[in-house]
Amino acid sequence: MENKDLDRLTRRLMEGTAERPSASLNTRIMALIRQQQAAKIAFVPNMPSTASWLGWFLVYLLLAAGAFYYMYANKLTMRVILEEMTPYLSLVLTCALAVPLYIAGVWLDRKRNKEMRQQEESLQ
Amino acid sequence: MDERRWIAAILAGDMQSFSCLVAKYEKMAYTIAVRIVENREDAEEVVQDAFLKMYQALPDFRFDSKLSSWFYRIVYRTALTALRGQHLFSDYDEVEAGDVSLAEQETATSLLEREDRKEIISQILKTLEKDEALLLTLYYLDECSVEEIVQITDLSESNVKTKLFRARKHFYTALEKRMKNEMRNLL
Repeated sequence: MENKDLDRLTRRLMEGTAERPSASLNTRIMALIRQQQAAKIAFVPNMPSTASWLGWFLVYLLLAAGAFYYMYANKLTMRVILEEMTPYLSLVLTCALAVPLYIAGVWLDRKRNKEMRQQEESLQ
Repeated sequence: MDERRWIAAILAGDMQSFSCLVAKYEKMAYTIAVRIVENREDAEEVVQDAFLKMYQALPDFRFDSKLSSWFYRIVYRTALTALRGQHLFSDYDEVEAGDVSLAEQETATSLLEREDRKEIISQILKTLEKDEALLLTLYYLDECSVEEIVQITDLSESNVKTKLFRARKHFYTALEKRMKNEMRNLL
């Protein structure tokens, strides 16, 4: 018998001899994958509540009122204020940018997590 | 479905496609794992780990090889890790195995008619060395080419060919021995 024929015979002999795993293996693998995906959902702090928004708004109002009172009491002109603020301008701008960026990041992460959960629920 | 589209769907978050992928490959992956670890529970754990690794590595798959070869390599490596340092392949042996004899071929041909062929072959594979049973499974059952086996096992092409030749001879010898014993018991 030629090598090719012997290969053909061996293939026929081996046909259908694959081992059969337990019926639950597919389910267990998928559960493991979903578990893995769930771990990917990042921890995101809660968005500020309405009360927090109001609280922060009041704090800003008080700070603004304080600043105006300081200007009024010391009879400061805008020119003097700008000259005094110039060294701190970069710091003020950074702080002013950090807060909205943080809030936008939290909002985006929460949106992404919500979508992933909805996708998970639709598959289960 | 085309493998590229299948993978694109999985990467886009389609879990149903991954479940189909598991259904397609789990049987062969399990067979490879059983041949190496020789234990059903351990083999299932190997398959679970391998699918998890595959899922994590899928974004890096560049279609340099067939998806099946790439995945079987993961199964193979995971099973080897489960063996904890035991060597699967024996060192290159210079002893030549002879050709399959005519009597062995006739015995094997007669087995094709029998209903319990699958059971007998499975038992014969268990009596062989792990590496031989694995190579026979990859080449004759899953119909991997020698090149694909090289990709899966990291053996050289000549080594795969030599080992396959020897494995086939041992397979037929074991088969004939088994059938002779069966005959003797009947008489």
